Amino acid sequence: MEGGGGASYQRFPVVKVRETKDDYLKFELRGTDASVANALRRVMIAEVPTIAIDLVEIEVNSSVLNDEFIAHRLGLVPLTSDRAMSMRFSRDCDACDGDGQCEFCSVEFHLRAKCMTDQTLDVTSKDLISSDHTVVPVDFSDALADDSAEQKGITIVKLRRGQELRLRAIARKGIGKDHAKWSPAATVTFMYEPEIHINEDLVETLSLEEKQSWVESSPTKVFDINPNTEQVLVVDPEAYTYDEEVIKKAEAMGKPGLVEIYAKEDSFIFTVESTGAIKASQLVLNAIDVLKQKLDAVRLSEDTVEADDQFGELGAHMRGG
Amino acid sequence: MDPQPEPVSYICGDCGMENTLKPGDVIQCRECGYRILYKKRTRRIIQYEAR
Amino acid sequence: MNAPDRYERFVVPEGTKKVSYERDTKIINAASFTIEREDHTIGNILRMQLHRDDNVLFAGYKLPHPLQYKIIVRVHTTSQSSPMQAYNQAINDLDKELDHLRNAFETEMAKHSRDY
Repeated sequence: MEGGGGASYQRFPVVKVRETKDDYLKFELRGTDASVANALRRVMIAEVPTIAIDLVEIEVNSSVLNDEFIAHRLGLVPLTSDRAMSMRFSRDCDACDGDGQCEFCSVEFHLRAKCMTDQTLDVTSKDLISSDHTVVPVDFSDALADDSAEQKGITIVKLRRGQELRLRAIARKGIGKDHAKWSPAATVTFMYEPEIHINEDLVETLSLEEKQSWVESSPTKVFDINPNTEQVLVVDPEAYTYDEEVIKKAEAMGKPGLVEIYAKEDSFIFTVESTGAIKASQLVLNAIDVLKQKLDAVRLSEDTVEADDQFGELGAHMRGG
Repeated sequence: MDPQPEPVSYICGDCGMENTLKPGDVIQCRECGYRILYKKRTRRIIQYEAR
Repeated sequence: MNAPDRYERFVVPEGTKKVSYERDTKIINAASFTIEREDHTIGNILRMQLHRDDNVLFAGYKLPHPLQYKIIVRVHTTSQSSPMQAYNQAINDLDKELDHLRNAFETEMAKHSRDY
């Protein structure tokens, strides 16, 4: 097999983490191209596995919401999924061959709630009893900072006096491509880092009022004026949304080339927000691993190479006459 | 021959009273005379895909 | 009701090859790789990585139809290389790039968790 004996065209990307919280991450990625940045983004959204409720067996439901409505809502509840990467997909689980109800590929949940008072009862994700303490509904209590409102979890349904809900649910491993409930990402975005050059000489031909109106032509606050020197400054290059308003404004003022803005083609600013199923930083690491697995899966198989080698010899014979 | 048909119980749409009806019975609540009766939910467990 | 199952988009059916290779009948050193159940994620990074190879004269990919879950990557190289060699090289380089990226990211995260 040809192992690619030629020169290496490998790149060595550089990462700089700016801000990190459990469910939020902002980082810079340099020294690679948009295809890799976009592949990472796509994998984070649609191919990093998590665990979510996939099957619901309803025993009793006298609530105002119908069975399928409740089943759908249960599916959307994010569950802590640190185990997901090492779990099996039910579809290729040998232990239960397709049944999808064994310990290797599923987690069982129970919910029992009945309202006995005149006070409306909120059935929430906290009422879901898990068979596995590592897979539980995500707890948002510290994410909401203020301890003003006591934490109740995610509301599933409300019950009035006499109404009851009793069910069993099976959670399975899955990916966002199958159904969005398995997506660990709330949002993942990246932008090109902008490079902004102000033509100082040209700016100095403007009056203070003109500078002011040019600075204000930007819909986001990218530029400002130093009150002492009356100089135009770039205060926040990343606030620029590539709207080109300042460029159009400069042209309209008869000063084309007042500012030049380029998108650095090998420098990206990523924002990752997680649903809480996995930490944002872990989401990035899992995405890299998943992408590596995908690349590994598209390697040429031995028999494909052999088949072509024979074909090549045949061709050589034919060409040789 | 056919087995004896089981009496089915229904719930009155007005007063909520349980009514047991046999074939041939008038569809009417014994308590309030209301003519809309609802069938009870199955006792079977039903499976749903959470999608 | 009769919608196809969503997993058909990413599960390779039994008896189907993940990657098949077909030489161009007219041009030497040109070939197409048909990759089953992959999309722009793989297609675009492979294409861009192939472009970095000096021996690659052409590299492109297409998703023939949104309901046919496969991509076709076409490669044409100089006589110094071959489509297979370039393809393998591209995968190896991307794989190493991701290894590097993972390490770089982990070191950065370690630095940040210390600052907490």
